[in-house]
Amino acid sequence: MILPPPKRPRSTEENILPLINIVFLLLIFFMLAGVLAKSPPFELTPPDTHETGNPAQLDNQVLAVAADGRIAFGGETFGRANDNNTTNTALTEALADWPQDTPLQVRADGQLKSAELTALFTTLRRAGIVEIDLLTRHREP
Amino acid sequence: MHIETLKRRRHTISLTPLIDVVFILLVFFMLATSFTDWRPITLATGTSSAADSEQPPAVVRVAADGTLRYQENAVAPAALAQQLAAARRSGEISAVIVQPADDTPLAITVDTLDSLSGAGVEPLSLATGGTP
Repeated sequence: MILPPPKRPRSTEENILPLINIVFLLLIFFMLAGVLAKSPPFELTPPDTHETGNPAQLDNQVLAVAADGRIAFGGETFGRANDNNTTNTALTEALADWPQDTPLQVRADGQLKSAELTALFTTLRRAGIVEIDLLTRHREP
Repeated sequence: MHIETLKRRRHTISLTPLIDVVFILLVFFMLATSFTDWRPITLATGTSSAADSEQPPAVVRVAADGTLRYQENAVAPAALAQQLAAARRSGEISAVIVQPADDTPLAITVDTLDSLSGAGVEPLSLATGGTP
């Protein structure tokens, strides 16, 4: 009786090739489909909208405002806008080279009180920001 | 003397380190990317130019509990949006100013802005002078 020669066992590398293919596909998907965004140094829940149009990409530099009014911009954390002049001066300096015709994207917490927002707007106006884009999260109605 | 034959099977590069790196990259991108659908609402930080127009702007006051007041009457958001959209089309008002009370949370103010912009009311602006 002639037996076929024993098959060389497939190496583990050959066995995991399909896995590698899938992992590569997932990697490419996440690289292309997602947006890398710096998250602010505090928890914040942006307000939701249903009917506002014009989706936008996050800019590289976004001004973040926590529910208690603390401000973060470009990796730096500032105090509350209405606390004292140190915050205002520091923020003005940080925003000094912001182009006039570009709206500044603001990511503010939904629980931010209007009075804090007013103080923030005043500070931004002093810093030479004419328009802001208040970022809201789109939810299907 | 032992002579190595050239017919030896070609040794392929090991895939394992590559897979390790790819896995790390995959985990990084999965954690770092965000798929949030951002919709910006453009607001002026100062007084808007709509104030120069002949027609007065409509002022909508937003209380902390979400109650809307227009011309001193409490109104429902949907009805108000339609009323203001019609008034804007007929030219009775030049702009709509949303004026939240000092303790109104941003989410409630944004709800109002959203329903107004959904009805096609523009230009919209946010009064940031507090409650007069």
